[in-house]
Amino acid sequence: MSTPLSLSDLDLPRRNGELVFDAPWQSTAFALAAAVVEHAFGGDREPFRQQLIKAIAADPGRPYWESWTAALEALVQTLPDPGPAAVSGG
Amino acid sequence: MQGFGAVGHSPAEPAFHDRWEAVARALVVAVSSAVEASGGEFRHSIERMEPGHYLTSSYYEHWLTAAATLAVEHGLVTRSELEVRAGGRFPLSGPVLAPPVADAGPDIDEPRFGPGDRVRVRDWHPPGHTRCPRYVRGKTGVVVRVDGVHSVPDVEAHGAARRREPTYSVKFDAADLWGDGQRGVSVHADLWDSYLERP
Amino acid sequence: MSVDGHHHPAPMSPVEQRVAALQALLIERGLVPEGFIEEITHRYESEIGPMNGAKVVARAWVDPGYKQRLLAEGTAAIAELGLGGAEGDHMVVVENTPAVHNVIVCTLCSCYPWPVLGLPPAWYKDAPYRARMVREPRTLLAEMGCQLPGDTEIRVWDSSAEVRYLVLPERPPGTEGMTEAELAGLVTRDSMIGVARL
Repeated sequence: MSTPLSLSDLDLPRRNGELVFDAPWQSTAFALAAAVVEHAFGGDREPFRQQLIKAIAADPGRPYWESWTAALEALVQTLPDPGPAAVSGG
Repeated sequence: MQGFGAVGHSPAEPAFHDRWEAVARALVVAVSSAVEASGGEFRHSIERMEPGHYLTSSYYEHWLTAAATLAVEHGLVTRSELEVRAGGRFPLSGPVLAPPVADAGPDIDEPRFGPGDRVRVRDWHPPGHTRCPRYVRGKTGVVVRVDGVHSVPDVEAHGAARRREPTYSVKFDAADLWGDGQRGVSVHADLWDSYLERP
Repeated sequence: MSVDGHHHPAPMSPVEQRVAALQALLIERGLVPEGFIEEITHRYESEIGPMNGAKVVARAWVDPGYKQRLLAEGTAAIAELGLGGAEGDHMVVVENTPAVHNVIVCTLCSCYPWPVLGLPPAWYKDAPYRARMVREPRTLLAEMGCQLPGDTEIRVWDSSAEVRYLVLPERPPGTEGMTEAELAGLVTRDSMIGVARL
């Protein structure tokens, strides 16, 4: 199930004989989820995993990394909003 | 990938901040006393916002949306009244989906089952989150391994309560799962203690 | 390049825009340290991958004591090789034999033993694999190129809780003289998921 090769594919790192990510937005989405898990949930992967399961179930045909992004959006929405003071740095 | 940098947050002048903050605070106070809503309900209302709306709106708008949503849901005002006064669309948060778990119950420290025990998966379809795969519900299998105690996802998904239970690897005969006579195939699912009962 | 000489990047797709919005928000909230995204990307593109699992397999092939420990307590044995981390806190290794073939799946999402195999391939995460491997594994394995004798017992492991699985493939015949490093070079990612034999 490989994607058609295009010139841009040649620029992306291939390790283990296969692209790990098809496009930079995917690696960014992956790393952002890791950041939230580590820095907002103390390394507990469970809240993100639940959102991912929910996102996949909500739209089983949706491409994986889009479901991942939807899961991350939903998870971020559960974080407390910073107060105005935090946002302005005051 | 180029970093996109921080959102271009620049209060036009300090007064804008203070005015918005005052409005947001006043609304929250007014609505919470009018409907007796808790901080948790406000936060949950923010969680229910449509993601595109949430990500592209400010902190103040999150609270405005939460206050407006709760006001509508508690019958203080109707959505169309809001839209008439706003002179246009007034997006609200999405509906409440799963009710919070009132009482998680006690942790289960000791496994109820051991390797070799026949177990049946409860045939139960919880409305909220669960990690019990559908295809094993109501089916009978054999415990092949007892694993560690872990937080039950069904409980954890619905609030601050936690319940920890042993988990098991349960082996099912594929022919039992699917009724198609396939031979020599077993499927193992890893299941929490409360998903299981004696057959 | 457009005629005026300025480079205009291709417009972002909707999902790229959403990721960009998330990135901006999370950076603003102080949740993304400087260089974090690049470091994680590099780690999972270059350092964490099936070459790690291959070392575990090769060690088990040459060292019977290690193999025993690996099958009894996967997490600790894998840690002996300096491997571990996210999605690898509860490892169970399942052994292929001439009579038994193991294969792993996550029907609910995409759970996979990252420390030994890296990130899963696209087909592992897609609906057809996730649904069919618990439904008709013998047929699906054959379609994926893994032909098994009709009397081979197939064991499918659905990673539906905290345990993550690794398949220990059988050592191929004719490899008696090889070094551990050479043996590791034979071990494929697909054999450690269980959709191929070596």
